[in-house]
Amino acid sequence: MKALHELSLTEASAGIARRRFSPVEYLDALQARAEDVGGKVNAIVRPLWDEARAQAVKAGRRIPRSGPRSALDGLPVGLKDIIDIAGHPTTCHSRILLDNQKTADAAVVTKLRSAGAIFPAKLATHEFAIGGPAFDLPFPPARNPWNTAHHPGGSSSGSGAAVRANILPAALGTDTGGSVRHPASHCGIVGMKATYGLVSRRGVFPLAFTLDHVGPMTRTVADNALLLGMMAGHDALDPGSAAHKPENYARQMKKGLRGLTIGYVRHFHEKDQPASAEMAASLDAAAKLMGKEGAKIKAITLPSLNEFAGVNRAILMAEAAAIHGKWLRERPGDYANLTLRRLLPGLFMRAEDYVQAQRRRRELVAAVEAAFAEVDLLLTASSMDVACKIDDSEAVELTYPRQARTPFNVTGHPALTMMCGLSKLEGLPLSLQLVGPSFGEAAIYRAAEAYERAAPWKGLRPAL
Amino acid sequence: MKVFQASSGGTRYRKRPLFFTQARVPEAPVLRQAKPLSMGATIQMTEEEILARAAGFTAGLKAHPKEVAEAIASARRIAGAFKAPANETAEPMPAYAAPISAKGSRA
Repeated sequence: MKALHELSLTEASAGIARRRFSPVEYLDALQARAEDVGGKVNAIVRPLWDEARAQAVKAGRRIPRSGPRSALDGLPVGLKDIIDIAGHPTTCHSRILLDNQKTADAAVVTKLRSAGAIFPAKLATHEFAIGGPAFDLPFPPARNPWNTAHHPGGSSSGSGAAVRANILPAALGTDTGGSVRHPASHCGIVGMKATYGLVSRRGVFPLAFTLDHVGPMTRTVADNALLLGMMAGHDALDPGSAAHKPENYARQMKKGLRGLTIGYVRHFHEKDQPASAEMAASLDAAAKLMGKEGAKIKAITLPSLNEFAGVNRAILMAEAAAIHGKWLRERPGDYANLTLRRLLPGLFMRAEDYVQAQRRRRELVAAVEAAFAEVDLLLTASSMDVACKIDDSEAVELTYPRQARTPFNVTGHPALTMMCGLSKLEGLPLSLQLVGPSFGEAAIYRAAEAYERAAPWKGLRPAL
Repeated sequence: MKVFQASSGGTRYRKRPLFFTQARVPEAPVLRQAKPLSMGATIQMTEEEILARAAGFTAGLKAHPKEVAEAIASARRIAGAFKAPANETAEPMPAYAAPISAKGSRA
């Protein structure tokens, strides 16, 4: 029998509904877990256990009396510390915003709160969701639960580490160039960057307006679909919000892979950014298993990864400079050196280059759209390597370009990453990415759940 | 090191040691002097100094010269990292959309 802290969101929800344990007992088990292993992974920058406990007490009284508000009622969700929660600062893991006290919840927090969710912690991030695992900041960088000498991925590093370390069953991250899917890949959990605009970004500190997404990070596919369903929905106060009704994203689950055509984009990891032999083999094995489970696998060619990466960088740098320009000019020394180096190129980009990148972006979107005329989903690599050592600065630099996640920030298509094996040498997670047409999240979850069920990785967990 | 010379007529790119010859890097920004210099007066500035000044990062350059040089090189690499769009008159993303007037608006 699983310990309480090991339960997934859906398992905990069922346990509370059947009165096997209360929201308070569940939260207490997670807090004990955080006290036990939290110091090893540095996932939490601001614990809010007492406040969460008060909410859990209320949920524990409310649920037996009037039933749960939703399947999330009384359940904890961690927040990357660039997402606002009323009454606490949003530091963005930076000394620049240590006193950035917020009086209102981010829109996504409001939605989750109304569903009954509680928020026991603000979680570590790369500074302003761009820096990297830096050691010259007010908080230490999060570490990988599979091996704490390794990078957990970023920038939603604390979210990935907390979920995989069983400190929390779920957390929110943000994704501008892959920052939900990178830690999900390195920590061996499920991370979804939904269609651009599906989840409101209001109350989330921006990195690059036209690329930013908020996404759920969980240990199972079912949990991820559940959480996204509570987060999605139009927000008239977010200029990028899509006028799209939220759905039951789990509705296609259990349908299996039969009837789906999956385009396998091999050139991303074979030619454009050659992956490690083990990562490439794990992707081939995943494609083979999906085929065995009934999917039709078809080779698909998209524009080069480097094209997508170039466009992503040009847009991200220019938009980020427009956000950070004042601080960069007035207090550059208050950023971690790594963050300063990441942000500074934006001050030297030409306006013309930004517009050309946005124009090229339209062509790249069209190329990916054309692929979806032939297939239901795409299968690609996520990271080209397993997580590197966190203190190996050269290897850390390489982990950001050696990936296939930025294409779908550029195009806005939904993309999910999940585990597809463990490396034999390091014992670290290998990962794949499933991509769908715009607002095709339900089909992605269908395929991901079928793969999760068929593959032998679901029960694997790090020995912390 | 690349050296720029600023004169009262603006800044021209020079490659050491050929001072007072014509520029060859068209994208280098022209530096306007806050105080007009007398005719023929010159000041010498590095490429980093000119670009940092154009970006409003003069003070930061003194504290972070290595990072500025790296950022300038990185910005140039990024600008050349993707193909030029096939149609130079195509609308870039995201297209501007006129706001929808609120209910009750007199518009």
